Amino acid sequence: MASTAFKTFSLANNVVEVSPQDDIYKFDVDADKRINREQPWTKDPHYFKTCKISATALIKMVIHARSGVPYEIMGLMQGKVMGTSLVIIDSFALPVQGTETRVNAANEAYEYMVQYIEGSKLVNRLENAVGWYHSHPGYGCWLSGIDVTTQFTNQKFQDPFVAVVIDPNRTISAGKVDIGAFRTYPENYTPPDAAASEYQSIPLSKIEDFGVHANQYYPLEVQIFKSSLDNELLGLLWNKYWINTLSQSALISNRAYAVSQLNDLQQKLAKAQSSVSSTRAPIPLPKDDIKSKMLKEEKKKEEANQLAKSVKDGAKIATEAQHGLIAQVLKDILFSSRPGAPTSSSVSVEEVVDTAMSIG
Amino acid sequence: MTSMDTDELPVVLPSTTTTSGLTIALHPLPILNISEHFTRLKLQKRQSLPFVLGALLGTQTGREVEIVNTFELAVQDDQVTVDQEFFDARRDQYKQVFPSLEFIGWYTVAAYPTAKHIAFHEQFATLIPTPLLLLLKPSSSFAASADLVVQTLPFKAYEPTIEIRDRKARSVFIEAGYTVETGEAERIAVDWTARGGSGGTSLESHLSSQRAAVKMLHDRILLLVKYVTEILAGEAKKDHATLRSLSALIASLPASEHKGFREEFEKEYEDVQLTAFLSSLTKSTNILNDLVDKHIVFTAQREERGPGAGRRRGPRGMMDFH
Repeated sequence: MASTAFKTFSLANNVVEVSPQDDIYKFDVDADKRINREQPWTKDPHYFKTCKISATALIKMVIHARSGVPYEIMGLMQGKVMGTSLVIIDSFALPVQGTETRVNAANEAYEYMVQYIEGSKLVNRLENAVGWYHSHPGYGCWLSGIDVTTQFTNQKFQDPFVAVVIDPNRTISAGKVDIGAFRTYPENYTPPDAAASEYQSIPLSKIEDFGVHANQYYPLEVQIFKSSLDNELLGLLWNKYWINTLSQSALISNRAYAVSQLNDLQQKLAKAQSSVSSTRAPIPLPKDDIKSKMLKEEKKKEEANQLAKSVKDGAKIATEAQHGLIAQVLKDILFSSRPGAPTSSSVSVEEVVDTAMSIG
Repeated sequence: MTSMDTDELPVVLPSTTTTSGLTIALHPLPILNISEHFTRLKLQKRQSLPFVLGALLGTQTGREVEIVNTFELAVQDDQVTVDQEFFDARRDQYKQVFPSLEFIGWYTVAAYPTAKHIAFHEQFATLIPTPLLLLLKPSSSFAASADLVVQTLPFKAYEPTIEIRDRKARSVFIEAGYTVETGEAERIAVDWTARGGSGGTSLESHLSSQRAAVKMLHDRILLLVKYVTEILAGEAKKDHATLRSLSALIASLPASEHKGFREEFEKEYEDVQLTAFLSSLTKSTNILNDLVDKHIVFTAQREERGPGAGRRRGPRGMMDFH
């Protein structure tokens, strides 16, 4: 019975079970030296395509990010390069609180970093620092202007290096980890084509910072890996924390964040109100039309449609709230209704699920 | 570890005579940390049972202990003494980043505590009065069995204490039970990594995790029901403590008939539905705007062609505005 519950877990088709299973954890000193000598990433700005993060490193970073809310926290990650992916085996926190105005927070933590990495060698943690992570509590995973500058410098002097961003608030309200891994392009390099990235809802106060620098870096695909022992332990852990799944309520723990999201939406709508009169209908183009200039103009018109973006933001807020509500209603039915008596509340799970489906 | 061990007394007191009074809450992060440490050393040293040693961080208030994080420890070349310098440096570093966590114990990998562990315990006891010991039991067969009872985590916690025997005092360990607690972010991260870390329609994954949790609740309840029916049929032994807690549980249902709670609940429900309303309102406004834009394009064209020709060839299939 419990194994079925565990199988229900492994829904996703992206379970990267490393094969041979735990080999990724082995640190091969010679291979590492070799690849650091060759440095294939200096020849191709798009060299790294994926970022593999170990389960322990990820959980540590999420917990650290959450513990620091509302401040931005940062830390370092240790790992190695394997082919075109940067593998992150462990992470550790730095005693610095980031604010948007601090460019070189890393300098203050320098001594801490050096000491930690030296000490790591004593306990058989031989990997080098291959990246840094920091949190954006509530405003999404992307690199701000300061972050881009910091990452430029990192990639110049400490390559291979990757920047990881985590949003602990969104993690809780969405019920899944909000994380992104990025690498900047070298200066004076224009990417061949600005690929349309997945839309993220960004608060109004940050949206300029996001837009200006969006083309100076690209995202890596994030994959999680775990060892065979981790797998078994996670399966066993489910037996213990299923209770927390039911008892915790996203609506309550994330109330401040939800309110700030609504505020932000209100501001965006106010802005949309002024710009909506200038929207134009998009001209339908024949599919095989290679006139890329026309396509780009159409895309620009779409992006300028503030109202459409607000619709997406509104839908996201509503969907997440509905999810939280589904959990609450479930608990209400399970624990508050008496058998046989008609449910006194007018609430039923079907209604809420229907609403959730109709929004998304 | 030689024949001289035969006259050594066992290091763990049998749990029937003494029980630990501690309530230990173990988080998933230390569990995964220890597993990673073990896997890593196994691979690097190519041994199936390398020597693993580390420190536990957490909080202890009275008899309640919470184990939240861990870090690795080094031993000096004699394999028995802890590297004190490294320990102090690492502990201070963790203090800087997580000021609320204290050193509360240590962990290692073994089937059960032995005299060697007592030696380590003595070293840690100089730093704090009662360092806990957490053991990971190495075993190649965690074979998934469908039996709910058998699936327990291969970790055991021990509390050190002094036993007086033959007018000599010696340190021994008592096994202590533990529960698994998580913070919300931790739970989501653990959940997500267990599923392999990809997305999927959020509604689908949310519903399935809720369903899995409810199913577990259902299974546990069925087990309890089975137990009670067996007692009634006279097959099972009555355990009064369990029965008392069962009746307390049933008496506390329904959990919320209180009027104040109902009001809060309904208000929250209304708030959430308001956001849904807001979202559909914005969506309809946007669709309307689009429609108006397209209509403008259409009518502009019609007017361009001149009043006469256009009106006769009135466009078909255009929506009427009422």
